Formats: sequence, C-alpha cells, structure tokens
Amino acid sequence: MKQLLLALVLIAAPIALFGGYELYAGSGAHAAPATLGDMSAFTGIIADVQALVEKAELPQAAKRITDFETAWDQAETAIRPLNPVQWGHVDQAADRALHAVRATPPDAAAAKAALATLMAVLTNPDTAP
Amino acid sequence: MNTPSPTFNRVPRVTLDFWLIKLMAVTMGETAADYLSVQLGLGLAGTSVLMTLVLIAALVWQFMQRRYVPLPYWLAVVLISVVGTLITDNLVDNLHVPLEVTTAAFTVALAATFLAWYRSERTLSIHSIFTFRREAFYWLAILFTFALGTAAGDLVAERFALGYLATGILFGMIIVSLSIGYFALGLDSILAFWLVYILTRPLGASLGDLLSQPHKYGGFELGTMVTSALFLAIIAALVIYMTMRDKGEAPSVAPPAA
Repeated sequence: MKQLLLALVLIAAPIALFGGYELYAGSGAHAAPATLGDMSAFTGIIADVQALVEKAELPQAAKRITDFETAWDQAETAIRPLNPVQWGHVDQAADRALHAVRATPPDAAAAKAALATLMAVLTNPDTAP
Repeated sequence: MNTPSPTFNRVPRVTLDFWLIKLMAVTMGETAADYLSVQLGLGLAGTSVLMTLVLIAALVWQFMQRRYVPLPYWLAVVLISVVGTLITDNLVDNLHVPLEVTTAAFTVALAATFLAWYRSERTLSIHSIFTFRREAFYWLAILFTFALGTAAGDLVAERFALGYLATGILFGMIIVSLSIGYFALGLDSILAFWLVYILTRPLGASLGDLLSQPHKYGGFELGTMVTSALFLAIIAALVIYMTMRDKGEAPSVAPPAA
C-alpha cells in the first residue's frame, strides 16, 4: 500500500509541475478552443467530386473521393487531437459520402446529398452531420 | 519437461539498453501501425488481422527458445507494439469506443493479469520467468501495457491538445520522477518497472509522431515510412550487438515445484 502511494505521488508531482508551468507560461496558447485548422485541401477534393457527380461521371467521382479518403486518414494522427468532436463530425459525414458515391447501383441523388452535407461539415465542423 | 537442465530466465535483464530498445520499439510501433494501415491501403481491420497472425508466429518462436535470445524476444516486442497500437485504434475508430473507456478497460485488464499472475506464481518477478505459464503471464501483461499506454497517451493528447513535444516532455518527466523514486526513495523495483513500461509507450508514440507528422502540425515531416525504417534499423543494430554480447541472465537453480 505504501509503495502504491509512493508511486502515485511520484506520478502526480511531475503532472502538477507540468500543469502549473502550462498555466503560468502558456495560458494563451492552450486556452482557446482549437479547431481542425485549414480544411481547404479537403474541400478542394470534395468540390472535384461534386463536379464529377454533376457530370454523371460516378466512376471518376469514386476514384477522386478515394484521394480524399487517403488524405483524411493520413491527417488523422495530426488533426484529430486538435478537436476530437469536430473531427468526429467530419469523419461521420465522410463515411456517409464515401458510401454514397461508391454505391452500386450508383445513386446520383444520394451522392449529391451526402457530398453537400460533407462540404457543409468541412466548412463548419461544429455542426453534426 | 523430464530432462533436468539448467533453467534460464527467458526474458532479458533490465538494463539501459533494454529501455533504449524498448523505447525505439514503441516509437516504431506507432509509426509502423500508421504506415501499414494508411499507406499500404490494407485498412485498419486488414492490417490488424495480418499483424496479429505475424505476432502469433513470433510468439511461438519466442516460446520455443526456453531462454533469452535477443532476436525472437525483440521481434515479439516490436510486433506487440504494433498490434497493441492497432487494437486501440480499432476500438476507437471502427467501434467508436471512447478513449476514457478503453483506458479504464485496459487498466482493469492489466490489473487482472497481475492478480492472476501473482495468485498463480506468488511473485511478479521478471527475473524468474522460467516456465511456460510465467512467460505467458509476462507477454499478456506486456500486451496490455502497450494497449493501455496507447489509450492513455491518446487520451492525454486529445483532452489537453498538448502537441507531440509537450506530451513527450510530460511523460518523460513522470518517468524521471519514478526513476528517482526507484533509485533514491525505495520504490519497489517490480512496481517501478511495470509503471515505466506503460509510460514509455506514450513517450515513444509522441516521439514517433513528432518525427513523422507534417511541419504544419508541429512535426518534423519525416513521414511514417522513413521514421519506421530508421527506428527498425537502430533496433536491428542493437539486437545484433546484444546477440554478440548478451548471454541473458545467468543460469540459476530450477524453481521449486509449485
């Protein structure tokens, strides 16, 4: 029991020290709620996908949205911690859009709707899809 | 076993190079899991199944040794690091389990493992892994420390949005504090070992993310492939060095039949 308490104190002491320093030195840096940051790389791809769906080129649209999927997955490690709630909103909308664009048989109306929702969430990640 | 033979500890002594290579292995585990599931296009689920099979093969090889041999031992650690990361990522990304829940669940699983280990063997010593059963407890505990370290590290990163460097410094400070406790304040060696073993996971993961992630997110932009390859090369060099030098713990008397 004494050992566990000692371990607890040894773990808590640096956390307190670190937290105190963060409060003292970095109150500005971490106080503001972080956002996912610049989403233009993602909205750019989705705009391409939307244009392809408008032209009824769903196979090309499905190919292009895979670029989005790859970029989004790659960015996860970096941007998810910035704002997990916003990230979750976009990820949910992205899952639905991927599903809709890749659907067999193709359903252009459903794809358009899902892409519009994804675009809206990318523009304002605070809204749930 | 019917043939009486000198009994070897099947796992390495805990020395400076043990911790160095352990830290490298977790750093690589983080970036390699990222690389395999994203870049190779296997997806998280496919990568998890594949790497779990490879891990099982490596563990079979390790268990067959019946003594400490650096290559199979560290291969198993590296693979557990990858699979432990994948398990947590799967729970969070595919099954949408919150990190608070995974952190709590792995804490309970690890505690249960230690409890079962202690009840069965009357010790948690890592210096007397002589039998199949003790070695099984050892590896199970290691798997859960990796999963717990991943979940707890991600939880801290998400909750407090500290960034890779700050997260690394925080976990580094806790490890230093526990080391001071062990060397100067009489903290129990086995307790200190397992606590530091858990904490090196988030330390290594933030180091891996710091090196691999893009500049705009505060990383060094080496990429997950270069980072993984770099650390794998260092681990390989250390394992070769250990193979040539390290003979494991000295043979000791067989454990009393329990």
